[in-house]
This record gives sequence, C-alpha cells and structure tokens, in this order.
Amino acid sequence: MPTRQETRRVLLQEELATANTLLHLTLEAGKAVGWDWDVTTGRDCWFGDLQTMFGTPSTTFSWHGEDVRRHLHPEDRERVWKAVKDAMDGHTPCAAEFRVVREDGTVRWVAAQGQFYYSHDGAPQRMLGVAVDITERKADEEALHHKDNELAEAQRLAGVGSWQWDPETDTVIWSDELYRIVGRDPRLPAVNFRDHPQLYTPESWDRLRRAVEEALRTGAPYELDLEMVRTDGALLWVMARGEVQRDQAGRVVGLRGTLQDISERRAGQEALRESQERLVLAAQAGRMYAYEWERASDVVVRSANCAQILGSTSKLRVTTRTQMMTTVHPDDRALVVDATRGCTPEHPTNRVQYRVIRPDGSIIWVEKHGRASFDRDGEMQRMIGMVVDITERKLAEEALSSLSRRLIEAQEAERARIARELHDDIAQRLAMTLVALDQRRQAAETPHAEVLRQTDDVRRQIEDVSRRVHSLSHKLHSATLHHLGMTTAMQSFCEELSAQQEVDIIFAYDDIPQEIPEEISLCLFRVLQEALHNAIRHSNVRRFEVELRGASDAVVLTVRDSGVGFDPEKAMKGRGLGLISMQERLKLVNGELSIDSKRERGTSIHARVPLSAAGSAQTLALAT
Amino acid sequence: VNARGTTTPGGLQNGLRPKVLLVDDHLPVLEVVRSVLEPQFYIVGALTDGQLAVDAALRLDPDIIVLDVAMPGMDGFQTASELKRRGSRAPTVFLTMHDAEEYAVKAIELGALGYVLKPRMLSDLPSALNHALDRRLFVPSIVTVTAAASRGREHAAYFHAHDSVHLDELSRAAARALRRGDPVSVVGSEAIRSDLELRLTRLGMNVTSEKAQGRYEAFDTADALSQVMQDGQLDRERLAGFVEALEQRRLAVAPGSESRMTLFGDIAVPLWETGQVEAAMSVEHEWDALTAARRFLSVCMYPVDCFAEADGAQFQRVCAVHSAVTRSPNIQLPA
Repeated sequence: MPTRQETRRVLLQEELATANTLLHLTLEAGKAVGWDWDVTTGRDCWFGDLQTMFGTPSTTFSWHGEDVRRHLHPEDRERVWKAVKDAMDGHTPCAAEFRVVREDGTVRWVAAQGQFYYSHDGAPQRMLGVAVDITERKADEEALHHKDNELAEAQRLAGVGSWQWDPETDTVIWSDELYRIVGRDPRLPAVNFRDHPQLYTPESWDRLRRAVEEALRTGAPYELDLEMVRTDGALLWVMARGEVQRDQAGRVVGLRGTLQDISERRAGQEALRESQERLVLAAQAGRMYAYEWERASDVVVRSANCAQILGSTSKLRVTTRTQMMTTVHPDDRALVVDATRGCTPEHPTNRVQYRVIRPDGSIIWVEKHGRASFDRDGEMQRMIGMVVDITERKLAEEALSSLSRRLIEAQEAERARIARELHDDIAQRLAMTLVALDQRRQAAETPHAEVLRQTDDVRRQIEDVSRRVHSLSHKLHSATLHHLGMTTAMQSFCEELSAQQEVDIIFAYDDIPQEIPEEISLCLFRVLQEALHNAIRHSNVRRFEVELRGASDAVVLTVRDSGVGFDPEKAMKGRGLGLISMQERLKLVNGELSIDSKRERGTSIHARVPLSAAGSAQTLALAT
Repeated sequence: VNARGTTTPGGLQNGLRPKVLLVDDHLPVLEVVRSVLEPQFYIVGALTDGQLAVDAALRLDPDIIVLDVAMPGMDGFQTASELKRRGSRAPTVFLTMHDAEEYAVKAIELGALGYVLKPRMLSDLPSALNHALDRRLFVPSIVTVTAAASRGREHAAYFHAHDSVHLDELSRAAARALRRGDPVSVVGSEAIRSDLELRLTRLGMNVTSEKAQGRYEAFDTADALSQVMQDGQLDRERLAGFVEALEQRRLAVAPGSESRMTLFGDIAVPLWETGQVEAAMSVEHEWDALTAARRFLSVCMYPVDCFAEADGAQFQRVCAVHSAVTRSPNIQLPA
C-alpha cells in the first residue's frame, strides 16, 4: 500500500506527464517549440515542432548553447544574444523576433519568449521559453507592406490619388498622391468637404456637389471630369470617381474614391480631335487622300477620296504600287521612284509633284507627301502619306507665270523703246544741235566776246541735258548688253556702281560662251542689278563679289557679301519685289535662284540658267 | 607734212578729196555729218543700214567709212566685222553717241582707227578722218588708248589743258595699266607725280607696293631731260639707254608676251615751251624709232597751249610722229 505521500507523488508525476504531453501536442500543433536551458551545464533541451522550426526530424533534441547560436540567422545573432544577456542580467523576461536557419538552409521567422530562473545567491540556473513560428505572418506583413508601397507607387505613376470622407464628421483622408495632385503640403490635414469649393472651378464644383448629394441619397457611384484649381493657382483636369461605403446594416456611412490627373490625356485628346477634324476638313476642301504602302506586299491602301480625285470608276481603294505607277505620267515616273528611293532613316519624308493620267485621259497634277518607316537594318518597310490634287494651283501658277512673263516682256520692251527713244532720238537731236551751234560759231567772223561766252554757256547746258538723257536711257535699258555682250556689260555696271556708291565690287568671270541668247543675258543682268542694289542697301558692308561662271550647259551668276544676312523665306514674303522679281525673271528662262543667307554670316545669291533649254524661252524684242 | 597722198592705199590722188562712206540709221544725222565733212571730203554714199553699207563699201571703194554703233539690224560693230570679213581695206571711224570706254575699246579691237562722239563731231570727225587716212588712231580718251591693248606697241600724243581733268584721266589710265599687270613709268614734274600717286591711291591702288615690286616708277622731267640732252642736243645713246632700262624692267616685272611697258611722259614739253622745236621733234623721232619694235605704250603728254591756234603746222608735225592721237575731253584740238 503506497503511502499517501507516494500516491501523491505518483499522481503528481502522472499529471506532470500529462501536462508535458499536452504541452508537446500544443507546441506541435501551434508550430511552436519550447526549450529548457541549464545555464550551469550549458545543456539546452528543445522540444516541440522541431521539424518545422529547425528541420530536425524529432520532437526533442539536446543541444549545447553553441548549437543554438549556429541555428540563428547570422544577421540576428548579436541582437538575440544581447536580448538574452540583458534578460539574464536584468532578471527580466526576454522576448524577441528573429530568424532561424533550418538544416536544409531555409529561413524561418520565430517569436520567442523566455525567462531565467536563479539560485538563492542570484546566479542564473536555467532558462525556460517558448518559440512560435511566425514565418507566415511575417510574409503576410511583408506582402502587405509591399502592397502599400506598390499602391503608392501605382498612384504616383498613374497620377491617381485616393480619398475617404466621413460625412458625419466631415473628415477627409487623402493619399500622398492626392496631396501631390492638389499641390497641398502633406503635413496639413486634407481639405474638408465643406471647403471643397476652393478646389474646383465653380462649374466643376457644382457638378461634383450634385453628384455627391446624389450618391449619398441613392448610393449611385459617380465619375466626373472636373477642372481643379491647385493651391498654386494652376488649373488642371482631373477625373473624380466616388462610391459610397455602407455599414453592416446597409446604411451609407461615407464616400471613398479616387482622383486622377488627366490634364495630359485631355490635352492629347483635344489635339487629336482637332487634328482629325482638320484632316477631314482638309481632305474634303483640299481634294486629297491618304495612302499606305507596304513594301513587302507592294499593296497600297488609299482613303475614300482617291476615287474621286483619280477619276477612277472602281470603288476599289486597294491597289499595288506597280499598278499605281502605270497611271503616273511617263515623264514623271523616274521622279516618283527617286523620291521614294531618296528616303532614309535619317530623312524619312519626301515630297514630290507629278502628273497622273486619269482613266478618261485627262491629266491632273498631284503632290505626294510621304513618310517611310524602316526596320532595324534600315530597310524601308512601308510608307504612309497624303496625296493632294494641286491641278488648280498648278494652273494658277502657270497663268501667273505666263502673266508675269508677259509683264516682264512688256516692261522690258517698253523700257527698251523709251531708252532707244531717249538715246537715239532726243540725245541725238541734242548732239546735232550742238554741232549746229559749233558750226554757227565757226562761221561767224570775229565773233563778239559776249556772244562767244553766251554760246559756250548754251553749249554747256545742252551737253549737261544730253548727259542726263544718256544716263537715264542707260539706266532704263543698257544698250551695252546688246552691243558688247553680257560680260562687258556686267563689268562696266559693276565699275559704274562701285564708283557711284563708293563701294568695292570685285567682278570675276570665266568660260562665258560668246553667244548667249539675249533673253538670258538680260535676265542675268537684271538679277545682278537687283542683287547688288539689295546688297548695298541692306548688307551693311562695302565690299561685294560678283562671279560669272560658265559651265558646258549653264551660266551661273553669284553675288556675294559678308554682311548682316537675312532670312530668305521671310524676305521672299515681305521684302518688296526684289527677290520675287529675280525669281520670276529666272523662271522665264528656266533658270533658278538660290539664296544662301544667315544672320551675321553674309549672303550669296546664285542665279543659274541652263543654256540648252533656252531655245524654248520666247525671245524678247531688244534691238536698240 | 601730211603724208596721206603717198601712204593711203585707197587709190587717193593728190588734189582729190578723200571718198567717205557714211552709215547711220538717222537721216538728220547723215545730213549734219555731210555738212561737217563736205568741205574736205567727198561723200560717196550715205546709208542707213549696215548690210546695205557692206555691199556699198565693196562697190564704191571708199577711202574711209564712218559708222554709227547703234543701228537696227546689223549694228556698227557687226558691220565692221562683216566689212573686214568681206575684204574691205578702207579704215573705219566710228561716230556714235556711246561715250563709254568699253565701246571705244571694242571698236579698236575690231580694227577701227577712230572713235568720235557725235556732239564733238565738228572738231573731232575731220581730224579723226585725216588721222585714219594716215593710219593713225584717233580716240576721245587716253584711257581708251591704255585699255586698247590689242594694238600692242603704241606711241600716242595726248593733248590736255594741264588741269584736274587731265590728272583724273591720267590716273585712271595708269590704274588701268597696273590692273592689267603692266609696269607703269611716269615722267613728270613733282606736282604731277605727287598728285598722280594721291589719285591712284584713291582708285584703290597700293602705290608703295607697286613701287616696291618695280611695277611703278616715276622720274622728274627736268632730271630725265638733262640726262638725255647734251649741250642743247639730244644724246641718242643716253636716250637709248633710258629706253633699254625701261625694257629690262618690263621683262623683269612682267615677262609675258602680252605685257606692255606703259609710259606717261612730258619730256619734250620743256623744249617746246622754250622754243626748241627741232630738239623736241628729234626726241620724238628718236623715241619713235627706239620703241618701234618694243612692247611699249608711250603716251606723250602735251599741254595744248604749246600750240598757238594759228599754228596748225607744228601741231600736225607732232601728230605725224605718233601712231595715235587723243586729248582731254574738255579741250579743242588745233585745226
């Protein structure tokens, strides 16, 4: 018969065993471990879900302190050890969250709590503790944190801010991005709904207010484009979305939503809309169509207007470039081909004017603007562009050109006639008068001194008038061009002008063919006069170079200065008739004018006239 | 002294007036020209058209042809070319309203022997015709003589009024020669030389540099004269030495076959002014002979008041020793 004491001991042992089992079961179920560390021996006994925590396939394990340390994550070792030491020295409970490295190398987070027990003399005897695996919680926390960051980043990137409003207290909460959109210091509280009118233009506020009232009343969400007034006064377009929040009873307790900065999108939409409208208008008014050509398939797709412009009866908007080329005027085909070939990745656009023969045989002029796209190797892939019917413009240009030709011809003919009249008739009559005067004087025997003086006076006056008439005639129409040729005429004009204006004009020439058609020499002479007069008037320098060069098939006149320069395009539009008249004159002899001028970098005017094609130009009546 | 009777190849005989063919598209002008020339010349024909003139010239065999420049159809220059091409040997003199030098130069390049401006025809045209009949050039300006390089050697008499017009012409002529790359020598008084240098500078010439390169040289008239005269007589050796020195300078400075030594000088003037007419003439004759085979343009500058109006004979003597005659535009030449 056991004694009562024995029985009590057995019972206690049984209870203890039960409690121990329960503890183990609890620990394993909760992914937890317990430890009992004998500080004096260093023996550390671990039990519980050692598999999960350390990857050790047993329920109890006996380690030395060093083994435990080894299983701690290197980055956490010092921190944990310090916490343990503090607790031991301070007689306080110890709590820490740290990582352990399992046998298989994976890392687990644990939260541990322990307590030291001391002997009577205060020396630490043992430490008991429990550690729980919190890896999953940590991962959730991490993910949540990450999500918060992501959300903020997404809001920042999208320009979307979020908000919440409690109508009861009129408390508003804004996200960081919303502060940024509004331009409000994030350290300040968000603007109350009561003060929202200051955030929007009156019209936008009115719409927002009504939408919010509606939402509170009916629970309907809203989405509005609003014009916001930032705190710095700038206006921007935002899209505001809002929806109600309800409690469990379904009562509306608040609103939440987002606010997105859509200024750029709105500006883009606006521009796109305008450009689309313009395109449609232009296509209708300017008679044009769009096209797209894919090089690999040679397929050309065109917009609807093409049939009307090209006069085609078929409604087919798809063709091939090869097919399309057959409708191009034979003389212009090379031009069209070259224009496409000329496109490079650096200069992907081109513009070419050519004639199209319509199915009914009529010819129209079109201007094609294209932009090519290239692959990485620089091979052309496709081309898109517009084709404009410029027939009317061409006709107008031709009419204008013929008109200006007639004008110039008429002007030159009239100048020549008046010059001839002045020179051959009036000046010659004056000359004959002088001769007659001289004859009278010679015939008079012993003339009176006073009479001699008077006749000398008259003679001088007539000579003076004669000189003026001659100079006027010369200015109107230089007979030098006719009698002495272009080179001499230009040279003496340069000499006369440099003497008269006190400037240096350097004239150089070479290889000028003997026989140059008079309409060409007159044209170049007039260009020289105009160019030099312009240069003297506007360049602010006193030295000019004139060069007349002959090539096998053309004559090129260059007038150069190193003066202030100008913008040729502007000058063509605004600066009197000088440049335009030069260009018009050159056009009449199939020549071309090019102007090379930069601000403060001088000006060069080149006039080039082909000699072979000159035969087609009409001959001016220039006899003097 | 007039040598025309023996030198003119046109079949002219002593005592007969030279035959002149007039070409001008204006009838009133033809009438005035006829009245100016008729006392001395015989007008064999007056035509208003270049083409007709060419045919007439070959048919009428004139001693001289007077041509207008500006005419409808074939102009004067084309007519002169055509005459040459068709074998006409009659010298041509242009009578025109065009006073630009380029016209006169072109006329000379086409072989004309005279260039006369219409307003000056009363005094100049008969002179020009007479000079032309003697195969002497007559042009209205010293600049033209300088510019007409195609004639090569030239010994010109240039009459002036000793004024700014003269100096202006002289400087333009010198500048023209220098621009062509020809070496220039001047024989003149201190006043003329310094004035000329000033004017050349104003025309954009760098006289110092031209001098340094030996392309411009100036001599004092009195010094030069004292070098070539010995006891009132011309020392031919010394004059030859002077000419040779100039020639050597030309060859050194501009050795090309196209270059001309261009000399403007008044070395004979002091002799005229002191009545040493024969000494002056011997200088001219010797100069003419010394430069005959050289590429020299010698312009002998004479103040026109050296020759009294009545003294036409002396003037004619001076002209006769030259290959070209010209004058300042503001003076009348003695008849």
